[in-house]
Amino acid sequence: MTSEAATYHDGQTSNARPVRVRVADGLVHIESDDLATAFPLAAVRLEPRLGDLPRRLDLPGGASCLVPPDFELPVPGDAPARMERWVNELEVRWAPAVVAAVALLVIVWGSIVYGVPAAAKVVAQRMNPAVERQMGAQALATLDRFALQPSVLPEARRQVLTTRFAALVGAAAPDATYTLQFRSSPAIGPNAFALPGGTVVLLDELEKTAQHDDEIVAVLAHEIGHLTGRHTMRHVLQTSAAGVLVAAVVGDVLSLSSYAAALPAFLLEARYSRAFELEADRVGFTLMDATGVDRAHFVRFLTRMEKDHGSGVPGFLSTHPRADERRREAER
Amino acid sequence: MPPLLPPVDLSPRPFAFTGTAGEYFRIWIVNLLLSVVTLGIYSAWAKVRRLRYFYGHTSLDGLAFGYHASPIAILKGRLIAYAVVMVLAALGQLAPLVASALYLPLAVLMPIVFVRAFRFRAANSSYGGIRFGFDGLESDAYFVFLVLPMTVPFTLGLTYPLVVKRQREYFVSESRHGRSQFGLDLPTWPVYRIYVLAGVALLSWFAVGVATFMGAAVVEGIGRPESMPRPGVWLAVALLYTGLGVTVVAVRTAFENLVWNHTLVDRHHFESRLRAHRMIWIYASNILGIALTLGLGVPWARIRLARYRADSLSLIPGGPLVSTSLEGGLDAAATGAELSDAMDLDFGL
Repeated sequence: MTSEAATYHDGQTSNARPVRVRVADGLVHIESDDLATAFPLAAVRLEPRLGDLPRRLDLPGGASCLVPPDFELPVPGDAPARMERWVNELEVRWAPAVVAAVALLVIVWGSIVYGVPAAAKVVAQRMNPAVERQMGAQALATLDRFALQPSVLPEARRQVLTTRFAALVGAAAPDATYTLQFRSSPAIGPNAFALPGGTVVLLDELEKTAQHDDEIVAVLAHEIGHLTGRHTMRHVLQTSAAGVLVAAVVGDVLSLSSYAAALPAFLLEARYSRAFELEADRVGFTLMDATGVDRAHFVRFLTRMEKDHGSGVPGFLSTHPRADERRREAER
Repeated sequence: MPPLLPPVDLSPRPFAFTGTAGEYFRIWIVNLLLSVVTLGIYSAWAKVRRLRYFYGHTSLDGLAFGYHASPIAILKGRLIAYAVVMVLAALGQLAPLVASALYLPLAVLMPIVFVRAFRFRAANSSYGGIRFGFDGLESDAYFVFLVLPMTVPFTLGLTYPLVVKRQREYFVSESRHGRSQFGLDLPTWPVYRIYVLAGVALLSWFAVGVATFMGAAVVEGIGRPESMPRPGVWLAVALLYTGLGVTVVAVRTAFENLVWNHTLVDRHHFESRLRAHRMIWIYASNILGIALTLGLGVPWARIRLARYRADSLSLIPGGPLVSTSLEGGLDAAATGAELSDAMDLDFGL
């Protein structure tokens, strides 16, 4: 093969001179008006083809030639060179690029929806429970400092609810040391939450909003569902693993493009959160069935909450499933 | 009588970038898929092809840059790095004390790893057929990357700009192109000015963000069942992110200009004319584009950033533009030996 449009660098100065590159008799000839040199084919190395870039032909002694992209040596090349030739054939056409894009979207989506949650579940179950207890204790201390006040429920009332809670725990996980804590927070409003390590916090405001004790018990059963599923730990693991995955595809983790990964991470987090809520609902329903509480109490409470504090957030941004979706689950 | 030598052209030479988003998209997506399906093994080849594309499409005075690394060498470096991370992660689970005891020797090894990475990147880059080189000593790297940063916490961060300045000076001044030595002597006050302005901007911005967040956190809680919308928390997070992002880009832009405008190679200077508002616009629209295309916009984002960087940079010649290689063309062979112990790792320097 011959190329008239090559550039020669002697490797000693950065001067470039136009040359003709010709392959004949097992030799690569580099020729111009004032230059004529030749090297055996085995002593030169041709850079793999990449887009429209000129290819570098490395010559012995540090010299090199830039040859047009379609220049080829009459030798097969080693395995990596053959692989890159095949990669180049995929790179220059649009069809393989489109197929690769679809395949990647499917792979990333599949790992985020199925792979990461499954892996997080396995890891969370093997995790040392002391880690979760510490996470929970820290979270409660922070909440106590900034958002929560002591409960004003009378002792007798607390006793009643604690007994009902103990019955639920007995049905869910007899060996577990879950505890129920009472707090108040006018700012947060009617709410209850599960902290990692086995603490459920019930706010006075929820106790007041509930029209029946079984409604409170239904909410507690849901929160115990979060505890038995180790949802906080799985949530942390899933969100960070998915974040790393997205960042690895979208950009270099160290660079600013990881900011771009923050947006999908928000959506992912909300999605994972909704899945955990539904899972906690399902566990809660079995606990209600086991302790003789009608599922309708849970639905009634949710409906009232949605009516009073209707969420303006669209479904895909929300951390909680819609009440009608949860209601359908309860009726199944 | 005609002059013996042609007159030297001292006009500024702009850098040029000729890569295109469409061509690079096809290269990127195919290489990314191959990296994923080979569980990362192919990523070494993907990296070489990516850097070859960007170097090869960057030119100055009609000559292109080149990237020459062997994917096998990169794969080796990555396997070592992954092995270290895996061992530490496993130990952290089984024997946390042993694992934390291992972090100290790792920190002590960091400067050596840095020097090797700089050396690898430089020795595998070329311009006009002449390789770059990095001659920094490990002992200096220890001072610049380990001893100096230790002063930062004890001075409440006051020495941070000084540390950044010294690190960059070390990196640039120990680099060479063939025989031509780079030089960088950053003025102290302008470096401090960048960080002081950024600090003031960031602090005032954070005050706004934290106030919003505290307000939102108290009102919204983390509880369930969900009873309230969370726009307050979203707003606070968005505010913090935006403020942080804008400041980081502005600092990087100012620092990049400062570094280029004080860099010498032989008798040549550089002129970097990056504008902070343009950089912020490029980054912001890149992030938006990447998010809206589910990540498929990454190649387009990289290409337009590279193009703006090249368009904003010129070389101001101080003499004829000819570089010569060290030891008359032998350095490509000489660096081959030192590459065997060089490692390829990416650092945000």
